[in-house]
Amino acid sequence: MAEVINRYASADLFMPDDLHRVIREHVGINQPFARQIDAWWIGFCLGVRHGQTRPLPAPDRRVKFMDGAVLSSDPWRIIHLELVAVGLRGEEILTRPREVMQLATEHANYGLEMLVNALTGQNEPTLALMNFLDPAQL
Amino acid sequence: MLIRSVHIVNFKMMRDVTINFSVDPARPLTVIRGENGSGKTTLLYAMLWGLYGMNGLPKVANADALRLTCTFCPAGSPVAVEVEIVFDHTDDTGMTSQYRLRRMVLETPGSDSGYPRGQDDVKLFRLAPEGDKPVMPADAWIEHLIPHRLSDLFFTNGDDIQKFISGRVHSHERQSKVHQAIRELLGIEQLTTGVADLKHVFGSLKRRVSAESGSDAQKLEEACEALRRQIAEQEESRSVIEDRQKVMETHQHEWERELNQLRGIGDLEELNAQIATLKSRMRACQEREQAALADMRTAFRGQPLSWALAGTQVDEGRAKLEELADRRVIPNTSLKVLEDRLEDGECICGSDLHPGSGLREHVQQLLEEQRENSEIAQRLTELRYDARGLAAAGADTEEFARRRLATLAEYTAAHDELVRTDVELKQAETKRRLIDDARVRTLTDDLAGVSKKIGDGVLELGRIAERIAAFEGQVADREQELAAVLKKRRANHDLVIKRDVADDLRILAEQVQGRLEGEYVDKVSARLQEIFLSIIGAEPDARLGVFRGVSITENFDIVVESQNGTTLDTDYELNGASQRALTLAFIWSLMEVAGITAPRLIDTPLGMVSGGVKQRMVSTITHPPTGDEPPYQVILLLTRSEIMEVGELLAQHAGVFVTISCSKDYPADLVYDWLGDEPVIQACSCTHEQSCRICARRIDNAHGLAFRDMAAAI
Repeated sequence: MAEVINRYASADLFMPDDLHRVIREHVGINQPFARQIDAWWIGFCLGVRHGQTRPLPAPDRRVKFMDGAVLSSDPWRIIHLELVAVGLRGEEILTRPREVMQLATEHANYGLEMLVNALTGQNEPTLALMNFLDPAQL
Repeated sequence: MLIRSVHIVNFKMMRDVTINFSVDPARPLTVIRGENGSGKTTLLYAMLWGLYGMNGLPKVANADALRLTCTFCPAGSPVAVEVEIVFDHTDDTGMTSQYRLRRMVLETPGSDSGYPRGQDDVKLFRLAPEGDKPVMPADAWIEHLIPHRLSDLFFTNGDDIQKFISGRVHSHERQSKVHQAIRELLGIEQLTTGVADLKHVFGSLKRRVSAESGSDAQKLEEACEALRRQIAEQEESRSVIEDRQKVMETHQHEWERELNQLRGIGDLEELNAQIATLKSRMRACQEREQAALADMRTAFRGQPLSWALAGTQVDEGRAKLEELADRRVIPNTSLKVLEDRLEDGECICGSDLHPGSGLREHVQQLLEEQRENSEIAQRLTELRYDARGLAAAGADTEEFARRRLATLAEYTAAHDELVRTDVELKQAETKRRLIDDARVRTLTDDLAGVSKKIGDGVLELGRIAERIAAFEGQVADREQELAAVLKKRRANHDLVIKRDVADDLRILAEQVQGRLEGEYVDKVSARLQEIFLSIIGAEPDARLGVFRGVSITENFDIVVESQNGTTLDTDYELNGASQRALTLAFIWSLMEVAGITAPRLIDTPLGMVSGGVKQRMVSTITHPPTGDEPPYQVILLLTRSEIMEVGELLAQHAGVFVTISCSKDYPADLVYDWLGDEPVIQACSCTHEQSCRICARRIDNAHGLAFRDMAAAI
């Protein structure tokens, strides 16, 4: 596969700060997520699966946790992101990378809330998350 | 020996206590009443210490560490501990004298690590109208009058009253106690000495006969004598080794029992190995758990999860791209064709497209339009190819589900095993905690050592037996030779007669000794049965009776016989009251048959005894001597609950009543504050029906005690 061009490298990635406070506690060694982007991506997938979004809150209630350059480390995510965007909004959306990122962020916000609910209060969050991520039940 | 009084100073909380005992033959009983913690056992210990020093006190690991003084005594200042006992002693001629035994020691209270004490100062005086006369040596006199090894008979604690009968005491020790008590108290020991003396006389006469029979005979006799000495030496060695063997066997049994108890919990080494294995298994389980969790984390950032969750929407995007491709919107190839035609100057239809031609301007316009659409088409084209590549690499929407189930199953299996192992580990560690590791090692080492010594002893006994047999063979040979020589020569007739008489006496004495021992045992046995059955109220011939008889065996074991020739286990088949009855019956029967006058002091004898048995027990052990029974003295240390049911009987038989109390019981139990700076024990003369300012207790009203003024009480 040829090198995938990341047209979102300069975009900022946000999370609502209430969710971010929980997610960042579950990132690191022996935590469910190695990086925040991994949590954000699962959030995006969950949002997409459920066809639900949550608007990004006002600037004072959101946290920029990374920029889009991080997507280059897993190029397949760019492909999935764009295919989902095309599937949902048509091929024209690819000419508007900002809109693609907004679409992704709003789906992620929805999914992150599900993740936070699944992780909160668990003795072994990794196990809890794996139990939660049952494709047959989601 | 009858004890008249004891005066105790600074022994534990007895700072200055005098107690008089009844020596009235018609009322042989002294009742010392005291509630728990009032000082009954302290009184018993004080008397034992007064008689025997530290040897008289209960054996503990470090006897020197026993404290005689009260914990309230200030550290660093020596305290004089003193016990004075006044007693009557009737000698073999029937003459009775009064004695005063005084034991004193200086003890310096300090920390728990030790209580330095000086040498005991022991003095015994014979009391006479003209003044007290010292009797020397005091310890030897006391040992003669009331031997320490028999102190269990004279001073008995209710808690270890079963020493003569319990299977928990090693059989050798128990039988030895019974045997020793019988021999000592029945005078058999003295007969044994007489037999030894007769042997000596016989030997001496034999030598004289030989000496007067000529040099050959004398030499032969001397040779025989030398051999007999060798035999005697060997027998002495054998006796020493046998005694040592018995002691070692006793230790061996005790240690084995203790070790077995400890090992009953589990073998330490086996447990340690098990714990190590379990810990290792725990670690393996934890590693499996962690590995499963790591697999899960890896799965959380992998593409299969993305396919599993968003695969449907991704596929929709792919389908749109394929549709564009089907409509040839992508890839956009016309741009290249138009550029090539303009460069060649000829259209694919053959028309001229060189600069200045009318058609070229139209194609150039088409090219510009196509260029505007090419950027988006290009991106869609790239995305289509990328998506195809991704799908070709593995667009399995079920992969995550499979991986999820696998990792969860692995984690669950590891976790379940971890939980099981943890339970096993905790059980093993709990078991190990119950084992005193150091004690097990010490016992194991000690047992190995003592087993080796016992083995060595057995070998040595075998060697000694061989030597003795060889010497005896030689003696027999020499005696045969001597007999032949003596036959040839005319020996001194008188000496021969004396020698033969001495030999006959020796043989007779030995037979008497054996018979007496048997007869006395039979007498004690018969009386023991009588007293025991009387106390427990059993009829030997009763059809449903459990107890048919009691006897002392040849091995000096006290056995209780039941139906059909069976015997009862005294530990498990006799209740507490019967155990006490049996022991008291033995002590009483022994003393009766021996006809000796001695005190019998028993601390809390009536615990676990009630009803008819209690009545009969008290009646039997406190009644005034009748017929040929020698006078005796019984001192019972009783709690209020022990006195219940038998108060009237005690009042009939008691010559003296004493109540002891301890000020530490104020205000919880005692009514009056004695106003002292430290807890002390005091005695008053109140009976079980009276109280005074010293002994009055809050529960007295419930028992209807009569209150007395101090003058009457002290």
